This record gives sequence, structure tokens and C-alpha cells, in this order.
Amino acid sequence: MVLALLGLHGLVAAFAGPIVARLGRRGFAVLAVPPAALLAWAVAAAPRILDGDPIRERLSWAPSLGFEVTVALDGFSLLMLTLVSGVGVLVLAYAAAYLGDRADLGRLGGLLLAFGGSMAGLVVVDDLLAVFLFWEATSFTSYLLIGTEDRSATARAAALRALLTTGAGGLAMLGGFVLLALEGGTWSLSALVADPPTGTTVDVALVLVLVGAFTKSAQFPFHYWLPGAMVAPTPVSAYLHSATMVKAGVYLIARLAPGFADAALWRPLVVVVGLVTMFVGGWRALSQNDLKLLLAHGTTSQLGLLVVLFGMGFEDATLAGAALLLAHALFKAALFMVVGIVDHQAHTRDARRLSELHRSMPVTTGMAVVGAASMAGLPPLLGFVAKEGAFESLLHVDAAWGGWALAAVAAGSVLTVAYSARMVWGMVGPEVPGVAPAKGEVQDPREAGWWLLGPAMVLTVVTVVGGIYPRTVSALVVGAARTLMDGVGHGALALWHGFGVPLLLSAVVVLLGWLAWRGRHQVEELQQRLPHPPSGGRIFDIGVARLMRGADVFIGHVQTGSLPLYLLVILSTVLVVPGGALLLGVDSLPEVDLADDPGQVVAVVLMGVASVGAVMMRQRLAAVVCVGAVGYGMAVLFMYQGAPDLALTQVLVETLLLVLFVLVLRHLPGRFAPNQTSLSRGSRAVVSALVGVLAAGFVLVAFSARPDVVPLGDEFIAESPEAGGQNIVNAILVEFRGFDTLGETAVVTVTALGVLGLVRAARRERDRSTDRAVEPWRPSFFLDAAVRALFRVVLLFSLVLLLRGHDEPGGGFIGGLVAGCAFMLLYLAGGDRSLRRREPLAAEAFLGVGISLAALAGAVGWANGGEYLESGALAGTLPGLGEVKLSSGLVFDTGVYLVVVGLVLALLRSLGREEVREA
Amino acid sequence: MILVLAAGVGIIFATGTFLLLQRTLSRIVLGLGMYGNGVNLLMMLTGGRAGAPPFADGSAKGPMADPMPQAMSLTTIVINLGIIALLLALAYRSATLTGADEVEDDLEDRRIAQARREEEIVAEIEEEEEEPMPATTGGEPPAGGSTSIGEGAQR
Repeated sequence: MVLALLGLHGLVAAFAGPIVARLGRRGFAVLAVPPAALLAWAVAAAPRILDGDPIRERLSWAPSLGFEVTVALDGFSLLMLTLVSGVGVLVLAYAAAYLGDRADLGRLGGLLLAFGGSMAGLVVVDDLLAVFLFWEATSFTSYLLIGTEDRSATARAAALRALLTTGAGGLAMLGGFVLLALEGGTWSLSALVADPPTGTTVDVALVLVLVGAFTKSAQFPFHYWLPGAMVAPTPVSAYLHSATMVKAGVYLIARLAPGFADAALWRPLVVVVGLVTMFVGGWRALSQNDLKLLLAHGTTSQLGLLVVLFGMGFEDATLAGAALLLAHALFKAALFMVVGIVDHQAHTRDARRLSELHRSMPVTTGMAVVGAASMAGLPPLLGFVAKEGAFESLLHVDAAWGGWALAAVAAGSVLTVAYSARMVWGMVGPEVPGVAPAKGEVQDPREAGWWLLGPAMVLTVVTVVGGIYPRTVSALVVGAARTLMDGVGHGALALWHGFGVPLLLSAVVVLLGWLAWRGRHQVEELQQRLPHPPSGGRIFDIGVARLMRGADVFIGHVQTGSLPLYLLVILSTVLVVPGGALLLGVDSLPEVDLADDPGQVVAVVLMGVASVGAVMMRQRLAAVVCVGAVGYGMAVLFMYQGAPDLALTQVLVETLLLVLFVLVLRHLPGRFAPNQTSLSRGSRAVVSALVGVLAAGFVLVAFSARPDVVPLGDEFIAESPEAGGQNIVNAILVEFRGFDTLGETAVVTVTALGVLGLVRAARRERDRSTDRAVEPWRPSFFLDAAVRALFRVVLLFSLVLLLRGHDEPGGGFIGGLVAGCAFMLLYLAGGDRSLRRREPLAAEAFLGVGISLAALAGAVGWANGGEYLESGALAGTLPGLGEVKLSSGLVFDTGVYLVVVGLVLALLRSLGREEVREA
Repeated sequence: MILVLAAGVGIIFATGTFLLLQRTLSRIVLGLGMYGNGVNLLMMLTGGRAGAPPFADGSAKGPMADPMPQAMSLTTIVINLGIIALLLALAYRSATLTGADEVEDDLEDRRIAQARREEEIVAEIEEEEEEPMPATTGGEPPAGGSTSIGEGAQR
């Protein structure tokens, strides 16, 4: 059910564009269905889950590797899921009201939904790889969301920063996951935590995983991307940076801490990083005038505290962490929405420009006050309950650093109180003189409509009710913490802890925070006077720029643009790597015979001469003829080897190629241009000789190394008569390896179409003035007459070859080539016009009919209840003809035949076309 | 193993390589044709010694040649025909457009090699560093400054 609902997220997100295009912003109601359904389902299942009976589902992925998507929805997942889906629904409602009728509304809505789905998936799966997948999905969708304003360079840069930072962290995390899984012997997160492996490898793995979590949750020194991400529209920020994306890292730390908190580096790392983040974020927030940016820095600060609380892996702290997780999601989402409302109504969110909003926008301001109070940890709100719990738990840390940590958290909380006050004062205080008004600023903003206010109001109400009656949320929070650590007591959260140190601390913190806010001008001055160390973002940017520079320099050296040079590099690699292996691997030289037959020696010698000739000739045509001679020599060697089909094919292809070359050479200069490569003739000769030696040596060694090897074809020889044919090569082509042949036929078809297209395009683009004169065609009367007589005979012969290919040399390829040669003769004798007169169909028709026939013939196998391309026969009775049997192999071969004919026709028609010349 | 055939493979690959390492497209095409022949010969050698043609009609005297490499070579020959035809069409196109079939250096690659982009980027960043930090933000330019944020946000 969970997996199905997650799939629903993806499905609806995929169709968000059309939905919103049709329904306008009301379409967001449809988009809200998946998260609402997930939330409703989670609430319905909550009693069972909180009783300690997690919901499990399983989707097999790659069972042979032990990978599967396992859902384990326990108490902590339930808390996260409630936040992700609940806030998701509210954000979608808010976004519909806030965004109005943007052109990209559908895209934005779909992305929000896809992001929510990824996040929901992340918090319910138990398989490490599935966690990673959903993790990356949130990185990717958040990249698109942050970069919503893709016309703004700032937005693009911020989105890229977020993506690269979280993406790099994700990679580190993947490495950590793999190490953990190898050490622990399982990919299951819960199994790993229940029975944690130990050792140095595990320590390394944990650091890698923590790096991933820190980047995602914007922990120091990776905190820089979060403030930048504020370029996104406010609904996006409210979702990503309150309840979801940034909580992913916290979620992972919370999951792992119970098992791994005692590992060597874990606790020092999370506590130090978390506390530093808390302080840096708060300090930065103190000097912001942009209310949204203030909240962003405040978010990193709160995330730092969450990392500390969950990361320590103590029962009390975990409970406090769960409470703060809930409280923070509620007040931060509400505050982002409030800032968005102010921005929407006043067209500015600069604290210096806003003044006395409590008069014009009382509801909005009221919600801001409640949210900020909860953020500052004032009673009787949920934030206070959580903050008390945090102090309480830190008091009981039984270690030397406990006191320091408590002091640091208290100091961070002072900053929190100060920036909370700064935010409220920015809205209700007087205007600061001397600041230019923002573009389109509204002097006298009015209260927003109910749709805009509603979602924030829901969150605010929960904040208040949860604070005054902690029992309402207690089950959820305690249940979550108990899932993580068994030792968490059943004791409910309480607003009133009695007079004690935590209450005293809270009072002191609030007092100091208030003083810090009173002295805000001095604080700002102090911040200015302090040196500014280079921020993480700056270092990141410089690093990226350096990387690009390095890449450019490297590519400049490697990629010079010279084709011969590239080839040389490739060939040298071939020489060094397999060649080196060959040299090292040879123990003894194999036994060799000179030849099976003296004729082979003669043929090879002649081929050798022709090969050298092909290299030496400066005349184009002479070189072509030399290569042709090598090809004919191949046919002779095939005959000696016992391969008549091959010999036939080789002769036909070689003949066709010669004609083709001549057709193209007509358009080219008669002699090769002197070579212009940067490679000297000598170096080319050396590389060529070495490649030749390597090839010959490879043949000798590789094929002599295993004298006992059974010929590959023996099995086919044994089975061939059963398949119905005596020509085993043909049987292999059309039956045993029929799929291969079908693919090859497709390649030939595409090639033929490619030639037609290339030549046609070249003709269109040609500049007439550079047209080269080609000798006009003077058909010979006698030749033409002779060929006309011969044409039908050759065609008939080709059909015979096709039909008998089953048992004797022949088949589709050979038959097709012979038929092609018939057309070629026609062309040679009578030219283009003669060909066009006789050609029954266009080349494209041959190709299309041929490939379709071959593909359909394969389906006969299905019709007979077997595999695709399994040979069979279609039997039927035709009126007048009696019983007719059609072998699927023959149909297939006919398809091949037609495609080959089509190829030849395409070549003759395109490359051989007579030029129409002017004058 | 038949020495003379192995030697044939060597010669064909050597000359084919030499033809490949040129700028003239028709020579490169010839080189590829040679490679095709060389590969076919090599494949044939995998079938072992010569034998009778593989026909299951009982006419064979002595051991049969291995039909498997033959079937694969048949495929190779036809595919090679297709490749050469396509390259010839390219040569034709080059000839009709430029009058020759030389493969020129890739201009884009050259441009990348000469790029000065990286210097510009670094200079930009260093320039930025010299500017005083905006007093009120303390954030991270370029994305973190409050003014740019204000511009970036839309409604």
C-alpha cells in the first residue's frame, strides 16, 4: 500500500502539467490527493505502528544480488511521514494561492509533488540502496525547484550549488553505505543498527555517511547552499527547508545513531559540527534584513541543534530531538509562509521597509509572533517543550564534554531568541530611515485572503495546542523516539517540568536573548569589525572554477582535433595493454604448420603484394583495385578453408564495392593529396607494423593456447538436420542466430537509408559553381542489348539461390547480392535511366518490405507456441492449390534478400545518379 | 595453426592501419575495408583447420569446417559493405561540397584547446573577493546577498 501510494505520487506528478493546464490552480487539489491519501493512511495505521508493530512491504528488485526495496514503516518513519505529507498538503494549498497563474504552474506543482514523494519514500524504506535512490531523487527534484526562476543567473547558480554540494555528499554517502553493507553483511538499515559492525572500515564508512548527511542538512562547513536556495519561490522554501529536504540528513543520523554513536569518530563529529552550525547560523541570522534569509540562517542553526540531539544517541536527547523535529517543522513552515504572505501583500520582505504590520495585517502578524515565540522557545508553545527537553537531556549527559555542550546549546539559543525578536520587530517596528523602497513596494499592505492564510494557520494552531496540551502530540513523538531507542520512557512530554535547572536556563536564555536584541546595533557593529573568513560558498565557487580550468587545460592537451592523432592514441593503447599482456603471458611458442594447401601460400603472397600496393599507390583508382585484389584473395582463402558461402558472398561484395568506389571516385581528384598529418611517414609505418605483428602474434598464441577447444559449431552440426536444412551456415543464420541476422538486416536498412539521405542532402547544399564536370554517359548499344537479355536470367538465378539456400550454398544474402549485381549490370550498361525503367519499386520500398517480412517471419515462432524466430511452417489449404506449406525460415530469408537488393539499389540510385549539368 | 594465414592477418592489419592513419577519407575507407578482411580471416582461424564444407547431406569426406565462424563472417562481410557504403556517401558529400575528401581537424576541439574561459572565471572571483562585504547581509555572494535574493524571488 505504501509503495502503491508512492507510485501514485510519481504518476500524478508526471501528469501535473496537463492537469494544471486544464484546471488552472484548482488542479492543485488533484495534486494534493497523493500526499493526503498517504497521510490518511498513515493516521489510520498509526495505532498499530505505535504499538511497536511496523508495517512491512517488499518489492523485489535484483534478488540475485540481494537488492530489494523494503518498506519498514515504524514510529519514527510515521513522524517523518506525517510531517512530509501533512506539510506537503498544506504547502500545495498555499502554493495554489501564492503562485497565482504563472505559466509554469503545472511544472512547479508536479515538481513539488515529485519531491514530496521522494522524501516520503526516503523516510519509509529500510534498504540502504533504496534510501540512496530516494535521497538522490530529493537532490535532483530540489535542484529543479530551487532553480524555478531559471532565467535568473542567481537562481541557476544557487540551484547548481545545492545540487553539486548535496550530490557530492550523496556520493560519499553511497560509498559509506557500500562499506557498511559489506562489513555488516546486509543492506538492511534496521538490521545494521540492531547488530552494528565495528572496526576501522566501519569508522571510515560512518564518516562518509555523515558527510552525506551534513551536506543535505546544511551543516557547517556545507551550510552555504541553504541561504542561496532562498531564491526559490516561498512555497518551495517553506516545504524544502522546514519539514523535508534538510531533515533528510537529520533523519539518517537519527536512524544510525542508536547503533553507531559509540563508534570512534561519530560523537565528536556530530556534536562539534552540530554545535558550530548552530552558532554560525544564529550569528548570521542576527544581521539579516531580508526576513526570508533570516529564516534560512535560523534553519541551519536549528538543524545543528537537531544533529546534536539525535547524533548523541542518548535516550533523553533522542526524545527531545523528536519533539524539536516536530516543533521546528511546524513553526518554520508557518514562518516561511508568513514571510511569503508579507512579500505577497507588501511586495517587499525587507525588515527595514516593513512597519507596523500589526495594524494592517493583524492575522499574519499574529501568526508570525506565535511562530517566532515557538522558535525562541517561549512557553506555552511546542518549541518551549522541545527546548526544555533539550536542556534537560544535556544536563544528564554523563561525560566531561556534557557541560560544554550544554553551554554551547544555551549560547546558540540566546542567538535564536535574539533573531526571533529581530524578525518580529522587523514586522511591527518602525521603518528604518534611509533605505530605498523595493521595486513595486506597497505602502499600505492589506491582509491576505483566507486561502493564503489558512495553511499557516493550521500549523500555528498545532504549535499552540501541542504546547499547551503536549499529550496531543506526545504519542507520536514518544513513539518515534521509542522506535529509535528502546530505553525511552513512556513518560509523556510535559509543558511544566517544575522548577529546576532547565526552567532557569530557559529564563536566562530568554533574558540574554532579549538583551542581545536590545543591543542589536552594537552587535551589528561588532560583526562588521570582525574579520570575515572565506565562507564555504566562496571556497566552493573557487574550487569549481579551478576544476573547470583544469579540465580545459587537460582537454586542450588531449583533444587537439586531429583524427589521425586520436587513432594513433587508440592504436597505441591497443599495442601497450593487450600487446603487453600477450608478451608477458606467452610461455612457449605454439606448434605451427606452414599451410594446409600450397594454394593458400600463393594466395597470401599475392594478397600481401596487393596490400603493400594499396598503401604505396598515389592513384586513387589503383589503390582501390589493390584493396579489391585483397578481397578476392580472401574469397580464395575461404574456398580453401571449406566455406563456399563465404567465398560467394565475398566475391559478390567485392565486385559491388569496386563499382561503388568508381562511382564516388568520379567526383574526386585522381591522385591522393600529399599527406598533411602531423605524424611522419616513419612513425605511421612503425605503428602499423607493430599493429600487424600484434595481430599475427595474437592469432598464433591465442588460438594455439587451447588445442583441446571444441569447435563452436559442433552443436549446430548435430542439430542442423532437425532444424530442417542441410546448409548448416544458412541454418545458423536464419534459425540458431536468427535474432543476430535480424539485427544485421536492420543495420543494413538503416545504412541504405543513411546513404540516400546523405547524398540527397549533399545535392541540395551543393554550390553549383564548384560542381565538377563528370564525363557524360555514352551507353553502348551492344552491351545494353546483351545486358537486357541477361538481366532476367540473373534475377532468376538469384531466386534459385535464395530458395535452395536451405540445403546448398546460397540463401538470402547471396541471392540478394546476385540480384543486386543484375541491377548493377543494368546500370553499367544503360546508365541511370535504364535502371529507373526496369526498377520495379523504389529502394525504400524494398528495404521496408524486406525488414517487415523478416520481422514478421519471426512471429511465426509465437504462432506455433514457441520463441520468437523459432523456425516453423505455416500450413494451410488454398483453393485450387491444395495444401501449401510455407517455412518461416524461407520467409525470413526472403526478407533479407529484399533488404540486400534495396541496399544495392539505394547505392546505385544515389551515388550513381547522373548529374544534371548546366551548359 | 597455419602460419601463412597468421602472416596474412598481420599484413592486412599493418597495411590497414597505415591507410587509417591518413587524412584522406577514401584512404580511411580502404583501411577499414582491409580491417574487415583481416577480422574475417581472424575469425575463420578460430574455427581451426580447414575442412569439408559444412553441409549435412552426408557428402563430406573427413572432418567438417566449423560453420559457426563462417556464419559470423557472413554477417561481417555484409555489415562491412554497409559501413563502407555509408563512408563513401560521406566522401561523396565532402567531394560535392568541398571538391576533396580531406578530413579536417575538428574546429570545436581546437577552440576548446584555445579557450581562455578559465582565466576569466578566476579573475572574476578574485575581483569579487576584493570588494568589501555588504554590511547587512554577511551572507555569501553571489547567491546569498539580500538584494539578489530580492530580485530572484518572484510571486
